[in-house]
Amino acid sequence: MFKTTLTMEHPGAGILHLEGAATIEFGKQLHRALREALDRTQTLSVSVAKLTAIDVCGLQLLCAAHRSALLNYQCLSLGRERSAAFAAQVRETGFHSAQPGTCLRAEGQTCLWAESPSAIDCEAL
Amino acid sequence: MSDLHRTAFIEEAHEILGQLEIDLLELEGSPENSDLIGTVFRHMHTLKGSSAMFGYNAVSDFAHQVETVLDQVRDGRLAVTRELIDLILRARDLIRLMLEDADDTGSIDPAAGAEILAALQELAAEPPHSAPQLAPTPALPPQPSAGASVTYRIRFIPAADIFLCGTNPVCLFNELRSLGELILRADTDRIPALEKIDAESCYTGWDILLHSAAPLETVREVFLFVEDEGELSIKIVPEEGSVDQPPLGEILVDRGDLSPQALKEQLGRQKKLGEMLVESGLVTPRRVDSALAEQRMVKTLREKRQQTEQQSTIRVPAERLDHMVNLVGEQVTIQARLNQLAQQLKNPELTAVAEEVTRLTTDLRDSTLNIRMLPIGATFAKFRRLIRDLSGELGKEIVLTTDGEETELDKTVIEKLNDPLVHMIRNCIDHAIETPEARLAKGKPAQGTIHLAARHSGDSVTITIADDGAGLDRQAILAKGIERGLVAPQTELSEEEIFALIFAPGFSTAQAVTSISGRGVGMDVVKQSLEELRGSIDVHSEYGRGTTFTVRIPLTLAIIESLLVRVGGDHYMVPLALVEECMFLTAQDVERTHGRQMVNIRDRLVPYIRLREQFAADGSPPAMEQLVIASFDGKFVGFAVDAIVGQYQTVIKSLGKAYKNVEGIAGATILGDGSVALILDVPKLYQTAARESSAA
Repeated sequence: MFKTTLTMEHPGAGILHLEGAATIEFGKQLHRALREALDRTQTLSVSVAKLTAIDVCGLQLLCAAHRSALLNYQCLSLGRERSAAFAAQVRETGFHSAQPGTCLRAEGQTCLWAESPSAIDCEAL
Repeated sequence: MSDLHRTAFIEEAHEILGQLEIDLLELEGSPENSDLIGTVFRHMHTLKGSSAMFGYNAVSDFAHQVETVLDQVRDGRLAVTRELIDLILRARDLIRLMLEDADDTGSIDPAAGAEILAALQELAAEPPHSAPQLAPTPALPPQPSAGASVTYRIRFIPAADIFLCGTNPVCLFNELRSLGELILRADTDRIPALEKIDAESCYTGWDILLHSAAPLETVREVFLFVEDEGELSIKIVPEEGSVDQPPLGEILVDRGDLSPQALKEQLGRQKKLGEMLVESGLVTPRRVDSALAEQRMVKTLREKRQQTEQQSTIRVPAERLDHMVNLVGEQVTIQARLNQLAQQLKNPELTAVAEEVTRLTTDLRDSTLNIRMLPIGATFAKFRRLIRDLSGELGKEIVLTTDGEETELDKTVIEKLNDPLVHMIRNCIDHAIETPEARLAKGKPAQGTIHLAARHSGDSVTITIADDGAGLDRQAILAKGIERGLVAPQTELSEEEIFALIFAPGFSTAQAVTSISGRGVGMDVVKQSLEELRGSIDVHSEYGRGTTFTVRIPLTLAIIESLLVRVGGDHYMVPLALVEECMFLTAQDVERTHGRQMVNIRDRLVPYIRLREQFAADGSPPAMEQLVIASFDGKFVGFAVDAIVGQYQTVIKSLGKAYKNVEGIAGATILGDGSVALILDVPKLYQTAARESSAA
């Protein structure tokens, strides 16, 4: 099963909680949830702590959301706490070494998959 | 240049020459293998360079000219033919002789080198179309040589619908991981913004580096079901050649024309290529990063390999190892004495120490003996050349197949095994395998096969030499045996006994003596050599179908597992591998056979030898003696002794020159109390007993 919940922490800032398996069966659901969350926030943190599984399809959607956020001058980052399944999948699919991607338009912008402290900028909510 | 360095060079050169021979023979079988051509070229190149460095100028000049011809082969201007391989093999043999005759004793024919070079140049001058079928095919991608690891650069961009087809790329990556070391970089450049993405399509591509010994086909097979729809490229990342090409800056620093500091400053001012390319918009930062990752991986792997190569082997003279084995042997003896002392004194502290020393000594002994273990493959490889040359000389077509090359044997055993094996293989080539015409007439393939196999079997190694030739002719062997007086006419012999006649001195059924074999000096010497190694040989043959010789050899000559027995005040050892069973020999048993030294064991009459009589031991036997029944080559023999002490593993000591020809004794060992125990040579004792019995 897969569940998404958006909690607004401050005006314009929220956390999208992903829970369960973010796999292709739930691809459309994740796509929709990410779009809605970006529509409602300027700063969005995606919590992946409760993900039990994620596939390339789910990782691509997170990457696409990050790209959209950059294009729209929004801030999207991944939560500091990451489930083991999520971390393993990022490593096993080579997304961990995807940075710097062409999504970076300006200096100082960080790839979603980077594990540097700047990647969690948006978490200072 | 010190003698030590020269010795090291000669040893290395011999290793290269050995490998060159193996690679040339392999190249003859697959003349289009460009990788192998490159390897052969590199061997010659290394020989040229290192011999020049160590002052062997004649070798270097000669190797240079051979290398020039090999360069043409590498470039596809000259085809690999049997004639070419012949000449390069001859050149290789000459280089070996030149290295051995470094003092120029005149044992080398000065014209030999010129003759080989003239023939090579003549061959090189021929237009390449003379043998077009053997020209290298540049269209084929380079393949890693067997066992060698290479780095594959894989770019995989799957079709957009790969997820909908039910394929998970992670499964492919896991399969690749099972082949070797993997570095994955996801290429996220094509992932669109959230507004434009189709949630179920794939936009990700991957740049993959795989370091693996698997061949290209195996790597490609991983993508078998997805490559048609997507984009896939698999290439082998070229490694640096054997000749390092230092950058210009380093050469200038080396020559003293530029200071290292100045070079560093100038390099610091220079923009990095990756930066320049990104700035010019020719490649994306991600692509540069990916290429840098590849560079790092190749560098790391190379450094790791070089480090492993440097750390994993150390060249030690064989004499030092022999000395070490002798020292360990002494320690085993002392340890046995310590154990005996601990048992006598019944001191728990001493017993504990003795047990600890025993454990350490056993580990040390096993490790030391292991150091001398070598795979038999190198010996098998030498026979490939022998078979090629001799079969060519005799106009026969013979192929060698091998199995169990990794089987390890003590270095000394391998060295001593060489001559008997050469003899048997020469016999196979000369007598066993028929000419192609004769084989075809018999309905066999024109090409004969000699199969060499080795495998471990307990504390011994079994080596089989099998051929699919004419097989042994029972009638001819028997007739020859009768003619030579080895067998009385009318004697009924089993097939096994008839075949055993071929091991009799001077026995040969060959109609003609050739330069290779047929003088009847051979199989008896083979058997004798193997027995000296505490080994045995069996023969099995089917007339018209082929012959198989099975040789059993102990793993090591340094140590023996034996049964310790006592006769009077003396101790003897019976090799445990030959012991079948032990039993009591009562006065009734002796009486039943009317004084004849025979015992009935499950309806089999087994002769026995009284060691007391054999070795003229003092004193009289106990009322109830013990009998050790041993067997070899299907023959059973017993040894009557006063008592059986038990199983004993010991280091074998030679008897020295004065006693080495004493029949019935294979060696000696020192027991825990410092006394000497003789190791029985069971086959010899049996033969002696049989001889004396028939004389009586």
